[in-house]
Amino acid sequence: MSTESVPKSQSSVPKDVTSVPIAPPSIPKIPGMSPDMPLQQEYSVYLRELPRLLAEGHAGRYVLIKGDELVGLYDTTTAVLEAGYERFGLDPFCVQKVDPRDPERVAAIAARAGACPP
Amino acid sequence: MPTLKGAVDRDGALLNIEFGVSASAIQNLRASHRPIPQPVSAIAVVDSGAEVTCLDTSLVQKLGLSVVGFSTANVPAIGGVHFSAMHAVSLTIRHPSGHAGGNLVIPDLPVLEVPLGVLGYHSLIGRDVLAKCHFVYDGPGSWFEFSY
Repeated sequence: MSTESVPKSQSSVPKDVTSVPIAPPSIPKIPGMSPDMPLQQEYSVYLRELPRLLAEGHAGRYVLIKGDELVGLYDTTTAVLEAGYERFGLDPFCVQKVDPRDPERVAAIAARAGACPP
Repeated sequence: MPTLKGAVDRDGALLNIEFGVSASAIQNLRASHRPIPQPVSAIAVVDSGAEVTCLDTSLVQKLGLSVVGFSTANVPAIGGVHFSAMHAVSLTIRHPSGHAGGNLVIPDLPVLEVPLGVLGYHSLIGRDVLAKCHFVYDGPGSWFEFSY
């Protein structure tokens, strides 16, 4: 049995989202996330870009983020991890599944932490 | 189709799993002449309620895994919805026959770091892995079957 549900050849980086310059985010602060957690800047970019990604129909795909840059979108976990390690080697990079449930869940965590969601 | 059968434990359907550094990370470790951590074995509970496979913090530390993302995970046993760090691993389920061809190998699998050790096991096998398998749970007979 194949270990990947979607063939690698189907992974893609749409031209419209490759290396899209993104305005610098505000100071990363994720309510409910431990301050010593790495990649909070990247996660802030994910949360900020999530409405657009969902509106463009990317739910369920995987986004690769480095610093302030949304590097690309991929269809499988293997494709996005390969892309991340190929491009950034052992430097930190962030992989996020585009999940429509995240805004509600992040808000719930923020509420429990006694803060407004980012 | 390779099949594993077992008795249902009080914790549920338990499997012996081998976790290692992801295949993509190994290529980079080799290229930079850095040591590659040996895979670690873990007792895993098959959990159809878990969307993503989870790994105990102690195993994350043994493998020296770096964070590659986050997910919002709802784990009632440890306090409900919270942020969990995501790591990339390789997962191997060894077939009892000893034939490597009978193993289930997933070379690049994102897993969530969750402090499971307090619960008595070190991994939850979620629906991301079950999506590649057939899983039969016979409650009255107290046995399960896992094939892939």
